Amino acid sequence: MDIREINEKIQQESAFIELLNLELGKVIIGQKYMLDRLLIGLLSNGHLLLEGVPGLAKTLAIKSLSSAIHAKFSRLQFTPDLLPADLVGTLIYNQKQEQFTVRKGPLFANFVLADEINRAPAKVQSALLEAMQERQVTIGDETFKLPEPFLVLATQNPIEQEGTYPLPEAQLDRFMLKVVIKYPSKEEEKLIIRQNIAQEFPKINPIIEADTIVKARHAVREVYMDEKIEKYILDIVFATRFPKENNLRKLDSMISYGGSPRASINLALAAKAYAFIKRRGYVIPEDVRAICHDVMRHRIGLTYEAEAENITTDDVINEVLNIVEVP
Amino acid sequence: MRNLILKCFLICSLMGLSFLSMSQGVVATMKLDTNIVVVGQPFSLELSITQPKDAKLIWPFISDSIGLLEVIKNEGVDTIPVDDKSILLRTQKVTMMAFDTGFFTIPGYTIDYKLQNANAKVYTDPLTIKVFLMPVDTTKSIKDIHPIQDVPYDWMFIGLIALGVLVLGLFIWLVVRYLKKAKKRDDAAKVILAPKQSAYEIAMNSFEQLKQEEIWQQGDVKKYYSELTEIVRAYIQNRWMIPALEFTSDEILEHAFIKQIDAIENEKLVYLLRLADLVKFAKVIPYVSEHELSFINAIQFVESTTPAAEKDLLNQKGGEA
Repeated sequence: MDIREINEKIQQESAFIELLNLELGKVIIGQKYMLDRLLIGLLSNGHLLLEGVPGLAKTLAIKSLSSAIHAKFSRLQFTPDLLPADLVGTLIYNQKQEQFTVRKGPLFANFVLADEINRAPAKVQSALLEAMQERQVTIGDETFKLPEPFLVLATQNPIEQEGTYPLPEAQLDRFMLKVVIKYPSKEEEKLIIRQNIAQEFPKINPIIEADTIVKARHAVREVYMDEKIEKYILDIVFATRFPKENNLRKLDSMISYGGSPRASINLALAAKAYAFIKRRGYVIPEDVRAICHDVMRHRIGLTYEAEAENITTDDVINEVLNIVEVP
Repeated sequence: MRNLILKCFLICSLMGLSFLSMSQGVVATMKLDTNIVVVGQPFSLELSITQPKDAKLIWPFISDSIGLLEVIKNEGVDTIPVDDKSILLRTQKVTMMAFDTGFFTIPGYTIDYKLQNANAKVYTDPLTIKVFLMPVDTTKSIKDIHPIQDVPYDWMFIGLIALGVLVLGLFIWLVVRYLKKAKKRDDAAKVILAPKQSAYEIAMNSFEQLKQEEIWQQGDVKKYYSELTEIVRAYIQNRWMIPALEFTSDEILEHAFIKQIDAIENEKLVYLLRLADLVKFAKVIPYVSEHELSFINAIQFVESTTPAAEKDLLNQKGGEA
């Protein structure tokens, strides 16, 4: 397809983004970064892991998004006594009919907020992550497809780690983005105070249908990505795997493992989605750099040496981006 | 008769030699390091036996005490080969002490040995030691015990410690120096070194080369814009010492150095980078006039941001050549 046609198509298909941002902006003050990442996850069929202290509008954001999209939303508070059946559903014996009937769990929704995912034991985490990956759930003998679009937004609290079950690296890799949410600015927080004191909470209207999102997902995949950008993505991912060979000698002892091929795939997909929400039909290096931290930060393993020196994966990514030549 | 005399002589000689070898084979001696000690003063007794290597003997057992003499330290038997290892010198040193006064006798030991299938004995002489009390002058007053004595300065020891400290200091200095150098080496990778040629010279040479290569004329527009922007990025990197090759277009255009450039040149740079991005990443093919305009814009950007002195220097070089 010609680039002009792609551009025009993207311009048309992405028109709802501005509407959506306006609608969400009615209730969510600031947090543009988080909302953009939510849309990236939604448009590229990925799931998000949100890390941030309580009270940063994580629940409000996903609830508002589901209201604006005319989709079903469910919230799951993960606790140590949660069971996989509480999530996916179970078979219940119906005495009248003298047979087992399926009771679907809260996972059967378009938008699922898995609050504090690291508070539930591994078996529950596995059940959720398997459903995220397969997009289907088996209850008894029957397999059920999960609704489309299906977006899981899992949250983690970075400050209370006692009594938690940290997600293993292999399962973290299944999240497309790990978004670290920061506090709002002073100006934004002033507006939040005013809005809360005045008890003025505008209602979110459903402005788009779930089908629009499904269609937009197809359009995102059509966003043009030049070979140079592909090479740039590979250079970044390979630099995390083999830092010594990429002029990053000092990172060699800091990284225990680099980004997986899934990292490359998700970096490319997320860059396309970012270009889409910027209403562009092609990817530029800025798109890759904009989402690189969110895609890579949970996919790089640090050594004890790095942890002892308080080096984070974000620092590693910064170093990598500073050394990899932009096309 | 003559033969008989010879035989008798030979038999006597052999008997004499045999006797000689038996008596000189094992020799045992015992000695004290002193013959007079005060009560509680340690003294040592040394038992030495010289024996041929093949002699087998029963070493005398020295118990914890010999009469009223207490053995306080028994150092065991030490063997030293002498005389081409054919003879062994075996010694045992024992430290003893007496807590009573008088004359004490250490009896001699009998050592049984076997040499050349013959059993024999050798004896040590008994030794006598006198133990007496320290004479006390009772006419004088009782004195206090000696005060604690200061250890005299051992200059050798102090010298060794000082040398050790010096060596340690030198080692630490070498390690710190090595780490600093290693850090500098790492930093050197980050720091953009000023090229031998000036930024202007490199850029102008590259423009000339790009022009001669006639890339867009051959239809490779994407390569042309990639190389054109790379020349400009490299120029920015060399001119303002910022890693422009690792920057995106947005990052370059938002960098602080932009404030040093006048608005017209800034616009030219924006136009060039934006158009190049479209060509490189969005398959856009500009008009031929735009290729030429981009080239001119790039040269003008470099020309206008180069100090006059640097340009003059290049012109002088050109003139000399």
